[in-house]
Amino acid sequence: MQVFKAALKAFFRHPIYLLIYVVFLSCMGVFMGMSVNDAPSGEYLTRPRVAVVDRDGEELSQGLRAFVLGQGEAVEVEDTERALQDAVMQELASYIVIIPEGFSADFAHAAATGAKMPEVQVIVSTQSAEVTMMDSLVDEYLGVARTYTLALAAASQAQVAERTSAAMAHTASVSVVQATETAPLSNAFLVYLQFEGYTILLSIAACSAVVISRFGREEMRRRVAASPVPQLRVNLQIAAACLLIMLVCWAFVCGLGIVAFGGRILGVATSHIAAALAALLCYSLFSLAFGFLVGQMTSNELVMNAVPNIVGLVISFLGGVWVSLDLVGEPIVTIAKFTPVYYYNEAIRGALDPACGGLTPGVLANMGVVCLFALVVFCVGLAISGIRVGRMGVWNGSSTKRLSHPAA
Amino acid sequence: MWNTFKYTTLSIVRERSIVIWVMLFPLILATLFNAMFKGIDENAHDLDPIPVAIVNKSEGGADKAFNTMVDALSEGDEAILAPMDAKTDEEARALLRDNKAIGVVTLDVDGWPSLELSAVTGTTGVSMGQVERTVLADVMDDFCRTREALEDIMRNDPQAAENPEVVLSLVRRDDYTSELKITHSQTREYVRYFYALLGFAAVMAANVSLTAVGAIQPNVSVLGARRAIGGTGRSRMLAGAIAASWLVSFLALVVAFAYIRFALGVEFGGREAACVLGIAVAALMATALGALVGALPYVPYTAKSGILTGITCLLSLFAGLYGTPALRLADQVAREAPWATVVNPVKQVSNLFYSLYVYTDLTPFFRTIGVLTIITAVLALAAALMMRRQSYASL
Repeated sequence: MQVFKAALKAFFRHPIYLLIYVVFLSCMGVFMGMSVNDAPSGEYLTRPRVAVVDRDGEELSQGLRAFVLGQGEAVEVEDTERALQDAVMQELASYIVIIPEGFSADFAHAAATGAKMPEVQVIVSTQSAEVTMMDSLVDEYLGVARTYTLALAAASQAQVAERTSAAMAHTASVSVVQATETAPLSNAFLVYLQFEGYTILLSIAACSAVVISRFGREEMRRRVAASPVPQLRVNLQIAAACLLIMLVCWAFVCGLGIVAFGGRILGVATSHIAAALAALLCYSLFSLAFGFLVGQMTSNELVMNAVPNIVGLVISFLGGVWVSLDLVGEPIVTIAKFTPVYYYNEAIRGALDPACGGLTPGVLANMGVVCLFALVVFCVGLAISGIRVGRMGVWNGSSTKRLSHPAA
Repeated sequence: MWNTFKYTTLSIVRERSIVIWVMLFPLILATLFNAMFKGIDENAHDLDPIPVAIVNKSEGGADKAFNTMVDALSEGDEAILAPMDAKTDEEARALLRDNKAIGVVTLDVDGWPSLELSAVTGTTGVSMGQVERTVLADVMDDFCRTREALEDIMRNDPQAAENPEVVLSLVRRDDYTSELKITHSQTREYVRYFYALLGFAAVMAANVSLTAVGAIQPNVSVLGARRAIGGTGRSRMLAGAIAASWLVSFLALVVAFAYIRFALGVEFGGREAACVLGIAVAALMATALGALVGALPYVPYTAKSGILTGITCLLSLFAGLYGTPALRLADQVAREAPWATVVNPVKQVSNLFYSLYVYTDLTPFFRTIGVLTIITAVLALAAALMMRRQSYASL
């Protein structure tokens, strides 16, 4: 147990790693989760933040303004170029309608005479599907207004606007159906677990790499090789220490998630949560294997920080943790399937599925693939370790033993 | 000082971790962003027909208008709907449960539709599932509004309903919107990830000065101890190390910028010269940050890189580096706590480029330069205070 204790002592000599990687970075997942709404039915439909600049001020414009502002989160924007640019820059409003002066009069005239219809101007912060849908709604409103203008030739503009708005208020009843009687999946908790995939890779890989690299230094290896403790027992004790560090990291992330999102996962089946946390454990094993690999490759702590971070970022993006994979092209999805994050993501989504979650065969298969990734990375690490030991001339254990005990 | 500058520069570029962090990292991540986000732009309008189950409970031919609409929307190459008839509510629900349909439309006896959608779960940011559900709901709303308008006209103005132009006007779909460009360039969301990446890379460049400053501090590194007994004054060594760190950080960031701008074709509003000026200031800020972390007392040198990484990762979260949800979080924080963005150097560097992209004049850019300069001055002052008169190895 001496090596085990020494390994833990080596790790606890760097409490900053524990503090920054395990505590500090895990909190990033909490921030991310907290920023996600566990939406009631209506919010499954996305609408941008909207603003209207009404330079016309007539009844039809006011009707359009009220309609647009009712479609999304309404915000006020000043009618100056700088204010509009600020709104775009700071994402205050992602869809701004500008109704030009004289729009209502031009609209009525064009509808009655068949001339080209006037247009409202739209400023968007970024082109997106939500923006296209908002454009359709504006087109719809003005299309109905044109019909009323034609139909009510003798009516005032106020009447046209009133009846257009009344017709536009008529919508289909929309509801969201939960597939089961159990509580729906908490998106916040899921986003937390997804984000923790990145932070746990960083924390476990960096922490275990610190321990492994300490014992991997050439002088240390020589000293350990000269001791009467068999190399296998030394390695097993180091592995046990790293495993303990991994379990502490995993338990911390699980505990933090349950404390932070406890209220949101009330009612979610315990088996579903347990399965998701088991998937995180599998991913933790991969992180440990990755830390082992990095520890074998270098003892430079700057590199030990850099490599897990870069690899973590790349595979998290590729694995669909931060950007929905159904929006990216097929080649990226194919590449994503070569990353463990993809299977981890699939596993936690499957585990937390309200309809058929828990430890289902699909979830187990995904967890198995993550474990296989861990095994492959660990084997590569072992191979590198073997090469390094071989270079020191202690590759052949039996010959060392003979040299150490010539009398025997 | 020249020798310090020269050899510090050489030793920095020979440091493997610096090459990884400051040079390779932005190039790798920028390449990945390019592959992913350009794909999103290309696929933005590729909407497959939306599978929807229809339960028809209408009577007396009240479903005629609805069927006409569904037929129109489910034919041809640009079909929006993929309708499936279901005889009962249970059959429709089964289709929903088995993910064969994402919505169930039920026509009541009068032919008015109501819509049930399956829940979207496990999404981060906007997903195609959400877009499809929104489109489906909008199609149903559109039908209801159009039908209501027609019936209203028929009820209250029957003569007008006989005018074919009125009916034609209802089914005609014209564009009434035109995009107004008030920003310097056409806004695209994906460029913001590249700007956040440059912010992240700029702050990570602090590793350069962290290494260089560590190498001249006698209480931090063996090399520093050896140099302390040399003939060169400490302030001259520090000036040389800082200058070398700034130069390496600046050049590495310029390489990353040039790769993103010219190899990947990401827009910076056509103001490349201003971008280089911004990078120079960002590199100065990174140098000051690295010097400050390098000067932290009672923290082992090897742990300082960990501190820097942790700080940068956290700051990058609020600059929107980590995908769509992080970008939304960053926007939310910027709206509700603007002071938090002012003190976040990653966000400020990201804003440098975004302000060049968005604003027609350069005032916001120079304002951000000003903020970064103040951050740099504060960091440098704190670093100087910490490095000054440190006592170590004393009796």
